[in-house]
Parts: sequence; structure tokens; C-alpha cells
Amino acid sequence: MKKESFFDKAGTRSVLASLVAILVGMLAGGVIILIVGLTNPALGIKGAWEGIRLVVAGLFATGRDVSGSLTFGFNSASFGNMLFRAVPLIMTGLSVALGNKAGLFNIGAPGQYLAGTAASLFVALSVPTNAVPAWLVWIIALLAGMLAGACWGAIPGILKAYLNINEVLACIMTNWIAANAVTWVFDVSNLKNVLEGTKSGYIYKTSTILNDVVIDGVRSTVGANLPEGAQLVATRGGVATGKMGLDAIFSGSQVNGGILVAILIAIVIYVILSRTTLGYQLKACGANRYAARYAGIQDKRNIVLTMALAGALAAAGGALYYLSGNTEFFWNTYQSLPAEGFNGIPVALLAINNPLGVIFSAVFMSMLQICGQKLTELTAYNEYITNVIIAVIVYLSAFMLVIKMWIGKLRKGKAVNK
Amino acid sequence: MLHISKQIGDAAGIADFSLRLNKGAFHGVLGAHCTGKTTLARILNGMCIPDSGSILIEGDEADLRSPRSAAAWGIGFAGEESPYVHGLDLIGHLMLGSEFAPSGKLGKRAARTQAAEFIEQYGIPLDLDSRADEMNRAEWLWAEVLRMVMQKRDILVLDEPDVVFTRQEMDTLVSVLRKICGAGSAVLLFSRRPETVLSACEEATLLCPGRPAETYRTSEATAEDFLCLMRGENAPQAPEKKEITVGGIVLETRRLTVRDQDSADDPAHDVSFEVRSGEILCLLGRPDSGWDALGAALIGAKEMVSGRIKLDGKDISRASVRDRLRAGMAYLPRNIRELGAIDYFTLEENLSLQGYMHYQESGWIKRRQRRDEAAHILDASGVSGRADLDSYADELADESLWLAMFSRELERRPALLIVEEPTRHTSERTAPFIREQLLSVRANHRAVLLLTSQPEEAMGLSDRILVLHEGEIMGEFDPANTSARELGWYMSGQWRQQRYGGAAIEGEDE
Amino acid sequence: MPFLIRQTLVYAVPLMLVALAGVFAERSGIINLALEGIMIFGAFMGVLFVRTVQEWGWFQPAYDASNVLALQGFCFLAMLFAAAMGAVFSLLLAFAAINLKADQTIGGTALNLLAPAVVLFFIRMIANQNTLNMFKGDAASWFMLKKSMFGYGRKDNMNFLGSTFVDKVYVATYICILVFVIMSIILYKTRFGMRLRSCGENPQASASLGINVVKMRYAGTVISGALAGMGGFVYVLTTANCSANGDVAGFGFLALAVMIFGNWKPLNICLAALLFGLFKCVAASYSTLDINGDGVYMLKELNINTNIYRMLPYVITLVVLAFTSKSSRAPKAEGIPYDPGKR
Repeated sequence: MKKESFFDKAGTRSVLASLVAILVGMLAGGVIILIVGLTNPALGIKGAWEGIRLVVAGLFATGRDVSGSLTFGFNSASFGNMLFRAVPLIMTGLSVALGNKAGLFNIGAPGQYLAGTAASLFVALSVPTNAVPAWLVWIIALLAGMLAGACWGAIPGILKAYLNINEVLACIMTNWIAANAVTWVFDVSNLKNVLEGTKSGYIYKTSTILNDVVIDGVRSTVGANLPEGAQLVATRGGVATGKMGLDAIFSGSQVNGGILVAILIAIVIYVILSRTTLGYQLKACGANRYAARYAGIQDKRNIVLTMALAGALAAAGGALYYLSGNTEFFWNTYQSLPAEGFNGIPVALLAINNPLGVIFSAVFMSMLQICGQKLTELTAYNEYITNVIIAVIVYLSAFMLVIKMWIGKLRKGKAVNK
Repeated sequence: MLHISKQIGDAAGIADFSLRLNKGAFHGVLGAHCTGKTTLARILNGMCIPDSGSILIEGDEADLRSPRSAAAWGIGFAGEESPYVHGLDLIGHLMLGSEFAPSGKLGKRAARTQAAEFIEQYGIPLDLDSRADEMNRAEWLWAEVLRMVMQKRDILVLDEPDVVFTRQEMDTLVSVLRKICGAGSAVLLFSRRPETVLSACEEATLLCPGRPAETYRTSEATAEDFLCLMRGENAPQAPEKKEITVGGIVLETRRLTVRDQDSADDPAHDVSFEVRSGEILCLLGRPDSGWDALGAALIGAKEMVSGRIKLDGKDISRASVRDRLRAGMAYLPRNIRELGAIDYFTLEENLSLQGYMHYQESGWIKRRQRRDEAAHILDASGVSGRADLDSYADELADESLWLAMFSRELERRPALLIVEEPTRHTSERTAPFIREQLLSVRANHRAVLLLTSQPEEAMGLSDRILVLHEGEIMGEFDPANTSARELGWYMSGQWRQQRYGGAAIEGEDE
Repeated sequence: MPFLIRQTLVYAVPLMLVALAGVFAERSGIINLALEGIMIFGAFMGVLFVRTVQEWGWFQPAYDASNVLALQGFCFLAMLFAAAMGAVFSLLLAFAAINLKADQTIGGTALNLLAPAVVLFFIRMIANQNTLNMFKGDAASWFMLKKSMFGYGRKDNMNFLGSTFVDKVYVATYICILVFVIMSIILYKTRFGMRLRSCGENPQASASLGINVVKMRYAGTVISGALAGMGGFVYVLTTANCSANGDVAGFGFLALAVMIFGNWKPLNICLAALLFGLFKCVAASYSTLDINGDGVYMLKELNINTNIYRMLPYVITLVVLAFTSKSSRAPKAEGIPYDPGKR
């Protein structure tokens, strides 16, 4: 949207509103920590103060020194992990933001994330790498994941566009259906981690090398080391996102090139929304579906397309996370939905649905999670406090937009006419 | 006694409006479009807060902060919006807000008895057994009047009932209101038509552009006097209508039936008509008579259940909205803010709402080109003084937005322009401009389909008038040979031409 | 069969109560997506109440003396507390939606994020694990009705009605049914209910008739919170042995589906809830379901994968919604913030 001379005012006001939301959220978290600290003799004010410092600056926490007080400094592992965990948040944030721009509340990101996870894991662990190079398998896996997410996201889109079913409800139903379906699909697959002791509740990491062999006429799957007399049929796995040198900068962390891919996708989405006719149509449908229809825009098709695109984005988040090679997927997931899916909502809201802003708010959210981790590691508090902060931020976002509009109208001095 | 002053920026403002309303008085407020009439009515209903001045009711200062406080002060309001609440029957509606039972339970029987008594006493033509979801706008207005009486309102405010009622029904309303005044309540009637106010009220306050409001005794004035005052001194003259030879058929509809999810009956049923190039055809009917559904069905936004539509000979019954727009149809809805423009977009983006198709095929928005074309349309509309391309649509006044969208449609040189109630949003200043534009479309041998509920608008602009009632055509008229009164009979469904299924009628005029 | 009916009721009753909670809010004009969050909060608060009161030992003598009436009273108090806390929690939504005219969908989602976060935070601090249990004993021994209370021995069989509706049931379930019926009557047959409904359909018209739309909407949302809170507690009481773990596995959203499926009308909601309760029950216990008492576990024999049963409620919801959405009619003004000055 062109904002020319108003750019500074509208844009900065939005950022200001988000900053206020963050501030109040942190404040709320701080207050809770304080109250708990005061009522719990084991923690006291000193404990509460430590808790608050960690919530704000946990990213820089480096542990405790000999005297027991917290130390701070550049923690490369924390930084790297922050970037690493920001990747799924960027993608689900983009997913929700895109939906919002088109007037749809994509609360189905968890289900789409699961679809992407399942599809990409299947491809990455099933395509024989002795026939296809690993980097190509990686790309195919990512695309497969996005395709699965697009199809999954299209379902609530079609239900809304053609049957007028509330997309929130449809998304929630598809979330749970996805959770059950993914559990089922993995349950009957051969990708459960049976090679490593007690890990059968997880799927293999994509970096695991799996060799399908024949020993004495019996097919089986073994790990990287081939046993005696085994004939190799196919090699699978060994797919991981390239590190791109980032692990040198942020040593000790799990960071990889996925963050670069995510940022690139965010830029692409931004360009689509602001410069193409497709983006214009999506925004028109989102702003006023009926006016768009009267103008000849195919609103139904656009709704389905938007949900499919949003689904692909959320799914890419899952794919990128699990294709990194060092993450394991707990497949028996029918009881719970991935938190990354829901956390896309605050990411999008804080970023005012701007794709470029999503990058920053996702990194911020990820930072909060690192702080939460440090809290659990170093104090008697637990990481759920960061979820509380995030929830408060979302709560504020619900009406920050309205307040921002009022301030804007007052500032500009033009009253709304009859 | 009321004394109000209010100032609003941009188009409509009221400066120093004073009015004195006595008990049992029947007072009229007369004003053309955009003279602040509706704002005034909304102030009295508590929906708008005046910038200065005061409202005194029986000597006490009334702070009308919300519709609730207005109701508490004894002000009853019947305006444009439908008072329909889904799930309640008619008696329920009449009872709402002042239910006839001490405890929590509903006293429907008591309410019905009281309602029947008032109907008898005042002669209100309302059938208490009507189904709430089938009542039309006129019946609802009667219900609202009845409700105001049942709730013992001291001041009844009616905002433009003559838009909903035909002439005959207005006469009935006036007699009912006179009886109500006789019982002690005061009535404030807002209208655009001098005749209404002259025949009904003892006193009228005129809202004139550029002058403070003045009150006159109706016995001392005539309709022409009022009209001149309302129009103001520097109003441009409306252009004359020239004779044009009518050409071939542009739009043809055959047995069109449209269905609506919300209502029990089809909004339009078995409608057939033609529009030829060089003519302005008007579909005239009450707001709920179905022309809005027809307009939506013609442009393709609403689905038609059966029938055929042909544009320039091509069957477009199944065509998408985009294809119909491309084929040369244009549509200007009455609710421009809801259906014709997008509030969150800038004016530039709104002006390119359909145009983006024809100069942005590749998928990339050509920003320079879009801006130039938008600027061109804006200049043609005459709104450039009041808004620029980067203003957001929700900052514009209704009139400016409508004019801009009107120019947008004209710019595309459509073969058929469907326009709903063009003079509704426009003031006396710009109405001639609209008229001129519509006549020039006609002069260029294209067609205009005018959808409206105002007989004057129909008679002033069109070459042929088809009257609609409850989704069916009642009759066809030549504007030069008919009157608003006669059209009213057909609009209310009481008369029907033989050609359209009615019985033979003896006389025409009342 | 008695087991099937009992278990269906156990799932269906909280479901319809929470669906009715949604109805109260939406009928007044507020979209309440936070049913899940309020349930979680109410459940936690109810369990906390039970745990704390047990810690204080107030009802210990009653337990020791097998004073059924007192124990049921204890349970009822916990239900009331959960309802009150649910009402308080819903004030957050009410304030944001009504006074600040916030986006109700986002506000509801915020509460859905807030509830588990706050609840888990405190559960961890209190119990140092992720689940909060009763302080002593379990739900069955404290709150359940058993046939032994009516003089039947362990091996005796009650008649069909007895073993279905009296043995091994929680009175809480029946209380919820009663509450459901009472609230439905209030919604449709009283002045308050009529005004509430008109605020959700046409708030402008209601206001010009003197109805306080703001007050009505607050009432609707607070009642919604109370019902959802109570429903949440009863849910964990009857299905999770009175323990709170910050999660109700999508039950609140299922209630939303029931509400829409039931077209915002209590009777339809009741039937829909029974249907979904049946599916949930089958999904949870199909392998041990002996439908006609002949010792044959028919469903287990069919050998359908567990996951299909679990998916069933959600798939059925979508299918049914697909067919009924055409005639579905939400309250007209729901989700639109009430602004007296708007047309």
C-alpha cells in the first residue's frame, strides 16, 4: 500500500503500538514473577529480581559464577539457537500474517505445520540418497512439505469460500484431524527410531544414515555401519540443512542456513503483497470481500488460494525445522498440537501482518523462549512465564490497532464524516 | 423546547440550528441532501453529540449521550435502519424494551391487547398477525410508530418516512400522527419534500445551505417558496433532456428470479424487461421491492435461480462478475461504502478496483500507469478539490466517494450503466452534474438502468418507468404521462396493470 | 450398554454446557473463542479448590464417615468456585471487546494462550510437575455415586436404569444438565433473555428502545465464562480424575462446533452434544465396549485403527457443517463492536 507522505506517521505509529504491547507484556510477566517471589520464601525478592533480569536479558545469560550470582555476556549458543528456533516462527508468522491480510484468521497453522513435517520427513527419509544427491532430496523434501501444507490449508479455505463455514472452526477441526492422521501415518511407517535404544517414540533425525540391506535373504534396515555379509540395497537419510558457516559465528548452537531461507521467503511474500496484482486482490478480498466481488475479483478463488499459500508457508516452517538434521519428531502427537503453529499468531500480530516485520517479531519471540529456558535452567521459576508474556502481548494486540487508529485520526485532524 | 447547535467539518454541518417544539405540535424539518437533516435526527436519537448548544426538554437540559438516554428522555425514533430482530415475532418486537410484566416472564397477551387497543384508537394499519420475517419496510414503519405510542414517548422523531411510504400511505400516516399529537405527544417529521411537510405540519424549519435555519408557518408558504429556499441562491440549473432515438436492445432479461438466503420470499420473481441504447429505464419500487436484488443479480454478484440475461445479444446468465464488467456492464450500488469501495484502501487503489484488470495483465502492478489513470478519473469527478489520491476512502464524505466511484464507472464507457439512487448521496450542488453525466451516457447511445425508490427521481431522469412491488413488475409508465401519486398506487401493490397480470382498473388517478 | 450411555453422558454434558456458554456470549453479540481457555482456567481453579480444601481438612470427617451428602456439597462448592473463576476470567474478554472494541477473535485467542500459560506456570510452582492432582485420594472415592451407597453389595446387579444412571456416576453431571435447562429457559422465556438476544441481532434498535447494550453484553459474556468454567471443572472431574494439566485437548473448540452445528439453539445443541459425546466415548474405549452385554467386543473385532476413532468427532463435525452451513444463522451483530454512534 502506498503511504507516501503518511508513511512515517502510520508506520512509526504501528511500531510504537507494538513496542507498547511488548513493554506491557514484559511488565505483566515481571509482576507475576515478583508476586510469586514475594509469596514464596524460597525465592524472595532476590529470586524475583533474578527472574526479572533473566526474562529481559536471558539471551545474554551465561550461567552463574562461583558466588552464585548470574553472569551475562555474549552467549553464542543462545544467539544461534535463537536464530534456529526463529525459523519455524517466521514461517508460521508469515502464514498467519498472509491470512490476516486477506481477511482470514489462519488458526490452522499447527495442522499445516504437521502436514509439512510429515511430508518432508517421509521424503527425506525415504528417497534413496545413493540415487539422488542429498541436497536435491532436501529441496524435494521441502517442496513436498509445502505442497502437503498447501493442500491441507486449502481445505478450510474451500469450506469457507464455498460453504461459508467459519474458517476458525474448520481450521481447528483440521488441526486435530492432522494430528491424528500424522500419528497414524507414522505409526504404520518404518521411520520410527528403532536403531537407537529407547527412542521409538521419535522419528529418525533426517541426518541419520539408513541403509536398507539384505542379509541372508532377509531385508532389514541398519545404521551407518554395515554389518558383515550385508548387501546394500539402498541408502536413505543423511539429509540436513547446510550450515552456511553460521555455526562458526554462533558456535555451540543448532543454527543453520534455514534462517536464510526463511528470510528469503519473507521477502518474496512481501513483494507479492505489495507489488503484484495477486497481492492487491488478496488485500481487497481481505478488506471488503463483497466490494471485491462487485469489482470482479473472484473472492472465492482468492480465499482458497490464500489459505493454500498460508498452509504452504506454515508447512515450510515444519519442514525447515525437521530437515535441519538434528531435530527429532515425536510422532505420537494426537493429543497435542505444535506450539510453533499457535505462536505464529503473536508473531504476525506484533508485526502488524507485515512480512518483513514478521522476521523481527519472530526473532523476538524466539528470544523470549530462550529467556524462558534460562529461567528454568538457572532459577526455580519455569519457562511458562514467557508464554504468559506472549499471551498478554496478543491480548494487547487485539485493541492496539483500534487505539492506533484513534490516535491517527486525532493527529491528522480530519474527522470522520457522515 | 429545543435549541441545538452543531458543527461538523467537510461536507455537512449544522450551524446554529434552533427549534422550538411545543407539546402536541406537529413540526416539520425540511432540507435537501447533505444539509444536516440526518445528523440532526441522529443527535436527537443520541447517536451524535453536538459540538455546542443545548437541548432542553420541558425546561431540563437533556444530555443525549446515547440512544438509551434519548429513550429515557421520552424521545422515540423511527429512521432508516430496519428494527428487525431475528427470532422475535411482531408482538415481541412491540414489547421489546418495556415488557408488560412485573417479573422476568414475558406478558405477551397483555402486550397484544394493548397493541390492539392503540391500533383501534389511532387507526394504524398494521396486522398484528404478520410474520416478522416477512414484513416489508412500510409495515415495519407502522410497527415502529405503534411501538412509540405503546411506550408512551413524548417526542416522536420520524426520519424521512416519505422515502418508505407512498403518497397514500403518507396521508394515512399524517392522520395517525395528528391523532397522536392530539393525545399530547409532539411529532418531528424530517423530510426532503415540501409537499409532505406542507400538508402535514403546522410549522416547518428549513435547513438551507449557507443560511441559518428558519421556522415558518406552513399556512403562509407554498411549495415553490420552500423549494427555492432549499436550493439556495447559486444552484446551477439542471440540464434539459433531449429527444434521442432509441436504438437496439442492450440488456434483455427474461423471467429472472433471484433468491435470497435471509428472506422467505424470492426478492425478485419472474422479471422480464429490456433496456435499449439511448434510453434510461427506471425500475421504481420501495426499498425492499427487489430492485436491489435485481441489480446484484445483473452484475453477477447474486445468483439468479432461473431466467436469462443477455447483454448486447450475448447470453451472460452464467458469466462471472469480471466477465460482465469486461462485456460492458457497470454497477453503482446504493451502499457505496459497503459494496462499491473499500474503506481501508486509498482513493487511488479504489479507483483502480476494476481497472487493475485491463492494464495489469502481467501480474505486476504498473504503479505509474495506475496513478495517472486514477488522477484522470479524479479530475473528471470534480472531487479533486476535496480529496487526493492518497486519502483513505473512509476519510471521504459519502458524497465525494460516490462521485469518485461514479466517475470511475463512467470512465470505462460501459454499454450499460446500472445505478442505484444516484441523487441519494448528492447535494443540490452536485445533482445537476450527475444528471448531466447520465444524460450524456444516454446521448452517446448507451443505456442506463436506474434503480430507485423515489418517484421524482424516476420521473425526472428516465424515459420509461417500470414499477416493482414485492419482486414483480406492476406496470410500465411514461414519465410524462404519470404522477407520483399514481406511481404510488402501483408501488404499494394496490394496483396492477393488466399486461402484468393485474385486473382491469376503471380510473387512474385518485 | 450402561457403560456406553454413562460415558456418553460424561462427555456430552460438559460439551453441551460449554456450547451453551458460547451461545450466551454470541447471542449478546460477542464472539467467544476463548471457551477452551476458560475451561482450562475453570478446571484448574476447581481442582485447586478441591486440593486446598482437602489440605485444610474441612471435609475429611465427612469422608471418613461416608457422608455422601456433605461430599456432594463439597463437589458442588468446587463447581461454583470454578464457575466464578471462569466468570472472572471472561471479564478480560468482555472488557476488551466491549469497552475497547477490540477484535474479538484475537482477544479470544489471547485468552486461549493465556490460560494454559498461567495455569501451567502455577501448577509447576505448586506441584513441581505438569499436573495438579487432588491432595488426597481420587475423584471416584470422594465424589462418585456408587451402588454400595444404596445398599447393593459388590456382586449385586442394579436394574438397567440403576446401573446406567445411579451407579458410578457423578452428581455433577446431573447438576450440569439442570443448569443447562434452567439457563435455556432464561434465554428464551424471560425478559432478560429476550433483551440479550436482541442485543446480538440489532443492538442499535435495542438501544433506541432503552436497553443497555453494554450491560447486556457484559452479562452475556460473564454468564458464558461461568458456564464454561463450570463445564471445564466437570470435564476434568469426570474424565481426568479431577486433575488439571493445563489442557482440555480441544474440548472448548469442539463445544464451539456443537454450538454452530446446533444453530445456536439449546435443543439442537443438546442433541449434537450427545452425538459427539458418543463418538468421543467410542474413540476412548472402543476396544472394551461390550455393547449388548454378550461378552463380545464387537468394535475391537472390526480392527479399525485407533486413530480413525479419534479422528471421527472432528471429521464428522466438518461433514455435518458442510451440509448444514447453508441454513446456519449466526446472531447478526456478533463480532461487531457496539458503537452507539454508528449507523
